[in-house]
Amino acid sequence: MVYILSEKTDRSTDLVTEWLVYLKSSFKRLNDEERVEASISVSNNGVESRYYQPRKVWHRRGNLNFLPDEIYDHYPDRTAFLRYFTRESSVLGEFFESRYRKLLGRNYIGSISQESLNNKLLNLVLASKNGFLIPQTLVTSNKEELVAFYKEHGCVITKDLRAPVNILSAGGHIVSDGVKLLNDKMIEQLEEKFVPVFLQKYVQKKYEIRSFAACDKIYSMAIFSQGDESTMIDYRNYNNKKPNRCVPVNLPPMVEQNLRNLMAAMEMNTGSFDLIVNKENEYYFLEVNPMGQFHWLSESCNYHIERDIAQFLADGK
Amino acid sequence: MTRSILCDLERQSYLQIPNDLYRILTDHRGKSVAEIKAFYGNRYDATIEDYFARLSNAEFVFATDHPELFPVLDSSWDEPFELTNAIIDIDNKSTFELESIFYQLSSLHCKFIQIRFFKSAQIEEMGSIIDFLNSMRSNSIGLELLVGYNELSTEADYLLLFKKYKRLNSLIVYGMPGGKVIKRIEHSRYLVFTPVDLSSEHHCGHISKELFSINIKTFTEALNFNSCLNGKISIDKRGEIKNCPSMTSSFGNIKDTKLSQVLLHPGYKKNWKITKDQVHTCKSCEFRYICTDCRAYVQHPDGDGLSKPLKCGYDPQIGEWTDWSINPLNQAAYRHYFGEISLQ
Ligand code: SF4
Ligand code: SF4
Repeated sequence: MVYILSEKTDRSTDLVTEWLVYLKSSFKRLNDEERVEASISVSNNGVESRYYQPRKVWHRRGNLNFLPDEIYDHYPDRTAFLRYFTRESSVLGEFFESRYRKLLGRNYIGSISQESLNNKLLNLVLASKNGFLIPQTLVTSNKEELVAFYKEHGCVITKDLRAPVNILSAGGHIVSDGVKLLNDKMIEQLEEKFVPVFLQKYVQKKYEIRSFAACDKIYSMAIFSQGDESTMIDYRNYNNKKPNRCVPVNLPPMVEQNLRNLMAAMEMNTGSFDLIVNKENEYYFLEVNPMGQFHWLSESCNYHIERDIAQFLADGK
Repeated sequence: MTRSILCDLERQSYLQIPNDLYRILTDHRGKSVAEIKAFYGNRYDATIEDYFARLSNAEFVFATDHPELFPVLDSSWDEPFELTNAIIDIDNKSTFELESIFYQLSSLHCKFIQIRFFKSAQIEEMGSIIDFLNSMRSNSIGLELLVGYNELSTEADYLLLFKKYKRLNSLIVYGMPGGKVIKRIEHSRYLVFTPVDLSSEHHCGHISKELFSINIKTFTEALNFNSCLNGKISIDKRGEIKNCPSMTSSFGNIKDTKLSQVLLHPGYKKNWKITKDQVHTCKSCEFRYICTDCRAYVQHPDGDGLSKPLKCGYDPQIGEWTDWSINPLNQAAYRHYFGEISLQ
């Protein structure tokens, strides 16, 4: 059986499953929001499961969910209890993933543990080891050091260390709006003691590249964001009226090889990579998202990535 | 063709350009501006520079030392559905069952259904269609309704239909006294009131600039397939299954023929493959990949089936739009389709 681990509202999963239906390939989609039965027995004879004998897995998003819906009514607001049960049953999800990733190799696409282990700093170190340039980066909670970094590089950006701000608090819903350019005012407002901040020298770019890797292929798109003030810093500060030019691009063979080596070093077989090409045609690594979106890329470049993933899952029935 | 256009598939617009710029962009792909200038014997340097400055300003081009890294955009069109859309026509004398049609369309994974009522609006009838679609659990089907004005139905009645079915994309009420009103329900869902009479299939097939569709999906589909009929199935008001209700060939009646059988008929998909590159006149029109086609009403009804859509007033030879219906060349075809109605 082919398993797709995802979330109910994930559009990319819908598109891939439409192709699987068209290709007459059977599959099971397990959404994070819907409970699945737990059944794993372990003995000297090995591991057995009444439910799960995956031939291929696409771990698109989310985690296996073993908790009955009623538990949420039972413990309304008792988040500590829910956290406990979620942590308890997550052993099964982790077991599923680590066992089948090992057994299935490239036939297990994606990984939620990679997503949660994903560490911007470690990734930068690995990228640098694998032939990419990386922007000068500093994480600091020391004002003097921060100011010195700002003075030295002039143009400095700051962004989240792990994930964008998304906090529902009494004061309202706070969300961060991507990457920010550091300015004097921000530094003035800074207290003497503050939480660690991620700083990076701003790289003058010719264009950005979003590369999506899956099923042994790499699909790349050039994003021309330089001409547009709202997206000069980062293309995620989307400009809706005049979307950035996005066109298919190939990585030079050397860079593609570096990317493949980097993925191997990260033990990843899928992911979305953000790269920058500077005026000297040098390739910078910015970050990787192990469960990144690819529909935008697929549609803008007419790459039919959804079809390719479905084809891969359907192959060798 | 007097001009060419650059289709901006991202920003859904187009830019008119001179034909010689079209030549430069296609014949000299991958060359540097200096090489292009030299090709023209350096006699048009200023013009060529001006072209590229304009294109660069509009962000149609970027300069690079590595053109080899930028592949040509894949122009294929590929969707995981045999059918993409259906038209069902209903008038006062229609007797077929809608339920079975919906079941068949759903099992064929058809995603969009347009129902055209050639009669005045009956809210209960539309409501029960929507209830049925909801009950099918196949409410991923996008719905578009076209219905005649009924003075007893209020705007609130129509809005309720939008509420009941979240995949109701648009509802058009035609023949309503007054001017055209478009009410946006939410992103890409519209309630439209129009004074125009749309009470029969004869009103379909109009070609105009306003109806151009400029995005990667429709562009690549038009490159490879018929921009109206590809993936389409229709049930006309008498239940005849056709490529489109306005066409004459029927592939059986819905009372005794399954839609899936029709799709297997060797002739059924013939029209799906007629691209604008094959249609006379259109094949030399700059709008051919953003324009829809019409195979039901054509300029020469008794010709080879490849004449230009009748209801297009554009002449690519001179680059001008006129009223198609008063063009003397169209009178014979007009009479053929719509009888001896005088046009002016
Ligand atoms: S072929 Fe012409 S009449 Fe038929 S659906 Fe298309 S545009 Fe309308
Ligand atoms: S000539 Fe053909 S392609 Fe051009 S606008 Fe008319 S119908 Fe469309």
